[in-house]
Amino acid sequence: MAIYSIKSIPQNIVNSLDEFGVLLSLPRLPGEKNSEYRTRLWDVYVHRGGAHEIGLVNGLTRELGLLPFKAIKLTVINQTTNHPRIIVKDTLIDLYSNWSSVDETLDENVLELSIDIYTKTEESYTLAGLVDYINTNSSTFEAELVEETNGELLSATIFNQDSCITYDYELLYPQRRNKIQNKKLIPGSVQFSSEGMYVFSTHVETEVEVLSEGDYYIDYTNGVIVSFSVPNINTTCRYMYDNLPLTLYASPVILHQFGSRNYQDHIFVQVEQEDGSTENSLPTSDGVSMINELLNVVPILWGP
Amino acid sequence: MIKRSWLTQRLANRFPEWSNARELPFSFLQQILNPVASALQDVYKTISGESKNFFLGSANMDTPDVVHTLRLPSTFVFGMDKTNIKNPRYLVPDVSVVEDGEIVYIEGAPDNSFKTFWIDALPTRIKDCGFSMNNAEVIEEIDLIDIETAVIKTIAVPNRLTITITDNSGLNDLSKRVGIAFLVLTGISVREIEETETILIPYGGVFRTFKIWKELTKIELYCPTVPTGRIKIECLDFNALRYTDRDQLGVFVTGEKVLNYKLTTKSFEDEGDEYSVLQFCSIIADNVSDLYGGNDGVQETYEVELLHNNNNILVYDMIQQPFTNRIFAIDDSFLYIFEPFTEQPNYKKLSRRTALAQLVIDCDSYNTLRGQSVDIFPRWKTQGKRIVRNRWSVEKPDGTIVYINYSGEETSNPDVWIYNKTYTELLFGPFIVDGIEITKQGFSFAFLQRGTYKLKLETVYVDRSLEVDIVPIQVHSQNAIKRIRLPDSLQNSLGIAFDYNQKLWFLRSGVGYDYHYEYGESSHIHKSQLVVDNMMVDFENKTIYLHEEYANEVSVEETPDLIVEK
Repeated sequence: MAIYSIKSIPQNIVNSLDEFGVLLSLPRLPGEKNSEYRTRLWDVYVHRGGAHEIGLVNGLTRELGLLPFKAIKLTVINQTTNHPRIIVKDTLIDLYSNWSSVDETLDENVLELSIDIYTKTEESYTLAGLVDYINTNSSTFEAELVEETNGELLSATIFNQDSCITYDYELLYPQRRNKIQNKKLIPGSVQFSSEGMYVFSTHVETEVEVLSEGDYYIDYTNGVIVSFSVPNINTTCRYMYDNLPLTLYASPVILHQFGSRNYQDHIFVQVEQEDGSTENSLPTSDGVSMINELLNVVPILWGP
Repeated sequence: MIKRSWLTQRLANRFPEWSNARELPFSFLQQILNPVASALQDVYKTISGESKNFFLGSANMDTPDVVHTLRLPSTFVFGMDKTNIKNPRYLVPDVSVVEDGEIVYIEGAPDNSFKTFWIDALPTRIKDCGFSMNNAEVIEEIDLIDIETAVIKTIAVPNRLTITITDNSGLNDLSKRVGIAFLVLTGISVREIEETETILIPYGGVFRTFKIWKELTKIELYCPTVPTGRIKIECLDFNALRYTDRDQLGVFVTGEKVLNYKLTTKSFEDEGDEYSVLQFCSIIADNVSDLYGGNDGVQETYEVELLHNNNNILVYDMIQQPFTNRIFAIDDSFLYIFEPFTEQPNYKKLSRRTALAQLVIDCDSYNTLRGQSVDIFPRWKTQGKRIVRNRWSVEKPDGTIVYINYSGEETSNPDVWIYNKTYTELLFGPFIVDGIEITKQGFSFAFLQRGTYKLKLETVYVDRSLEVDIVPIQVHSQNAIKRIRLPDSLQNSLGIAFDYNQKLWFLRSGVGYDYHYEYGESSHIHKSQLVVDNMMVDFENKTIYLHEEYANEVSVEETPDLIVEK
């Protein structure tokens, strides 16, 4: 009798989880088991998709059955008087040893390192290399690879993040002393809604100076707001706070804004002008392959 | 073997209170209602399971999701069974695959139906996924008063946490007099969001969280007074000495749903070895407030001897498979699968029972365990004709009949009639037999065989009429429906548990004895995979559906026709 050797092909069966998938616009991947599919369905309302950058990262990774992961943990080792800050933007990681306040133009903002995470020839091209580079060159921060993260992955998988986080809406209770949810607030970043315009009109430097109507004091370190008067109901505040130590998240889906200055430096050969600025010239080899791939998919016009 | 549905008693309870049908599980009415109740029970089980699928957190992960298809070539020919010329059938081809250097044969699902292929399918193998982490402790056993400062370990497996409070916690009295203590857990759930959960702890016992926790950051205890007792928190409930049937699929002998299973050991012979017995427990409390007043009211009501191929076994741990009424149990080398149910006794010969007999048999219980005794008495239902004599006999499961004399002793001599002078002597004694004063009729009978015993009481009245009452008493035992050899890396495990994805985990090493365990330095947990090597064949479209995915190609061999030899 004949014997045949055949490789099996997975075939999905619709069950109750797929009904959730219809509601959430998240179909099951081929051959995906219930437990993995449920994890992705849960993720829809946790890491929300959207048209903004983080929304695209969340949506794309989820649709492909991938997950963002913790890549590198950055810890402050040399606490200066002001706030250190980490900004990941496009192809650069900027490490600030001093960040004075929300006013970015002040000279007190000291940029310690600006690390290129996109160029192949740079040491910081891989995660492990990036960790070594930071530990060697930074006196403010210390980096370590998160456990079970593959150090050979590209640093470009780290998506845009900021150690200073803006908290847009925190409701204040009708009491003179309000403990807000976060600590390490950035001086100058705390703003109150119009309901609190008379309660929070005069900022004082110490708590003992809160003596008359309109006086208020902010303990930036512990996240406490003390006011002379009791705030009205529906008074809210908005502020920025330090999220340090910071764990940098990465995504298997690398996302870059094509029009950003940092990214164009890598896509086009930069020609220096007389005034010291640079202008885009011909595409680099990376740029050529990327543009050709785009043109294959979308027949857009290119050029001035 | 007929399964008795827990709904049978519910349906019988619709009849008037005075009717025999409600009282006797072996009444004609309940025998007729049982098939109807069984069908209703299937409906109830389906609705109960489907309602849990409304929410992602409680959804059944074992519902059919992916099948693996083999597209047979057009030249493939199925063999046919032509032994019955009028009804020839296709034969399932021989299918096998090489896994880890061994040949695995894939069997066709019974009836070739999807129900037997997936929903009712039993695992055929267990694979060690090779995934071992530290043990399942989240908080080591400490004094309850120190819970807020306890070291919270990393949760090895995201799961509903099991909180065990032991040793005279004093919470019982507290709940009755002052108020119920509670714990507030804060952390990151499996949905990756920060959540809190409040767990009431009205007494020392075992509690489970409703949320699935991935990381705990804080535990707070709210207790009216200084608490005593010990607490520990785990992410997998190994050695669940008492397991709560949260899906409420268990069966109780009187028809109510079982709430708890419990594993214990008993000896069935004098000074004999002890073997595993499964106890069905129910919550019995005189006062509802007792349930929260500290008495959790769990009492063992019904026991089953666990067997494999009619031989006793000794298992170390058990767990109920989620969304089924199957129980998994392990010993050193094997995993046993049981499907506990109340067995309906063999009601043959009950037709010889006299309906509306005056004198009937009364006993402690219609259900017992091998080696145990039941007290048996006569009961006078309706006083009418005068009783002249009565005789007791017992038909054992192996068919032998023994008679019981006035002293309650077994004898093969059928001439053991007990003569009664007056009605009251029969029940309340004393009465004289052969010059010996007997205080009261009744005896204790030891049940030493498995199966159905039939107690028979024959009564002759002054008008020479004979009435017979027959009562079946079931000695319960259950054979495992499946036994699977554990891989070497999972043998000698101490415990098993399911996680929230319904994957089976094994606890290895540590110190284990008497159904208790302690985590040792070498304790760790292994994730396993229950493999179902079966298939369903679509003869018309030449397609085979496999339950599992195999790394290698699957071999499919044509089978020859079966024909009648001339």
